[in-house]
Amino acid sequence: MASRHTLTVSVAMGIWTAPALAQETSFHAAGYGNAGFDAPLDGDPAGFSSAAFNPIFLWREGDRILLENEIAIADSEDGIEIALEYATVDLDLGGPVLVVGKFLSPSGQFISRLHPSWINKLPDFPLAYRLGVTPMNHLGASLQHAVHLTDRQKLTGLVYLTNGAGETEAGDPSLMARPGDLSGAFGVGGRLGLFVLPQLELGGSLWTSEYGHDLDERYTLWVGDFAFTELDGFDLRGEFVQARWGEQQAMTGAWGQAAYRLQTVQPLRWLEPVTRFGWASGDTPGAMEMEMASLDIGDVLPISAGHDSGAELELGDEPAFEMCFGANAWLRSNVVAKFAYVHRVEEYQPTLRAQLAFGY
Amino acid sequence: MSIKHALITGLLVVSGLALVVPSATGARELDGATVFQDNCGRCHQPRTPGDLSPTGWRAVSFHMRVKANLTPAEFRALEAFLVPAEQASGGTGAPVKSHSLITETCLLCHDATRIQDAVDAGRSEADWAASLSRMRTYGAQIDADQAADLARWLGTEAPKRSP
Repeated sequence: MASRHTLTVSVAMGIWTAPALAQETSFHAAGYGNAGFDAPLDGDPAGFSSAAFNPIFLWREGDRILLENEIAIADSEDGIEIALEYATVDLDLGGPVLVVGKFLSPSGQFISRLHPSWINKLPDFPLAYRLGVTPMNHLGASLQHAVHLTDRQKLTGLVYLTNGAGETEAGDPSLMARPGDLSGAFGVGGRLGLFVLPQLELGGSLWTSEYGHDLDERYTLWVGDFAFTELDGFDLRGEFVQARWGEQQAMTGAWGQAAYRLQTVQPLRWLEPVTRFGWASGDTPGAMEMEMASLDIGDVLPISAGHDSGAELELGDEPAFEMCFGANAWLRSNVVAKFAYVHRVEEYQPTLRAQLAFGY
Repeated sequence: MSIKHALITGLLVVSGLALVVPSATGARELDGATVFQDNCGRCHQPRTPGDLSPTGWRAVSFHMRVKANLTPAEFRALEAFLVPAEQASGGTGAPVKSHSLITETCLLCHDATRIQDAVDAGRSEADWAASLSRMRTYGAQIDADQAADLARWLGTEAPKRSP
């Protein structure tokens, strides 16, 4: 019986892979890098604050298989830090796509789509993603698909199964996407996106996992997101983020961002003013371990495993609120010089931040 | 809801999406340029098709299919737009390439064959002017006077293919 099943699977895989093997392979090296400069306005010394390089390697085999990965390399106080942001094998199943490996968190839109420095319109991450209570990536498998409902409406869906959250010595969930120390728990998640118009996307995401010594605790992340992007250069988007864990611990945050590339103003078509607000309230665990895999935010948050997120930023009794104002100079479609006035919650003083980012 | 129930629910949602495909879209043809404009600019400044080689675009288009969760039809149209057969084969069967603005601007995003097809079909100067005006809002590096001259040339003077 077993051999018959093996034969069946082998024949099926052979049929599935035959077209792929008959076609060409394509390799492409992409990625991005950035360098930053900070000038605090309340007297602290100014200086160059970051340098990071994120190579991305894509290997496409025929029409149905893609191997893709991104490596984050940056300087830090502890020396060179290297992290694997994602490494996946993507299989086209003739419509749906199966993604297996380490992948960026599909919750919301910022981590999965907007975090690269040449895409992120400000030098910082939104406040809700700097608190250390949301995962950057997962180890597991996801299945995604998208369909047109009409000529203008589209529905996208994604479900995924991951290793579950671990537990820190302090009893908080560990959100690192690493093999080993398996607790036996699995996390499940999904995202649905509805394009009401080609320019307007509404999304909802969930990821939840049991954790704890007896798997008697639960971590749950909800994200609602929207994006409105006009071809003439207007870009409005935002997210609502809520993480719950433990007995009654929770962090609720939100951010919104508006940008306008002056494409129709001939002398200023390179210029893009941008503003973003961030708000967060609730708990930040003292020792929640997670992998701050993105080096795009400079030296503010380390990337290494076991990062003690609570030491960087803790919310007080009052909700935290911050505003950023920036102007981006697009030197090319993939090279941007960002200049921003930021009043970050964790620094208690306004700062002028500049960042040059290059995507290739 | 238990993990098992959540997983099953999610899989049913995706499975339902897969079942909707034939009834909702059928074999509708999508325009690759529109897919490019609608999707690539949603998250980042769109690159121009001339930025990468056909080999590079083959890998990147699959990458973006996954990142942007494109529909299968969008993926096919995008790939046809970014890796047109003529570009891949190095063919030159389009006399409109004799105009420098065509080669310096239009061909950064479009296949010359497509432009030549419209010229051969007798597209009017007014139609070309409307198209070029739209292209300028999409970011084509061409000013108003150049657009007017090019529309006139395409509508009245551009050479057609030999029958």
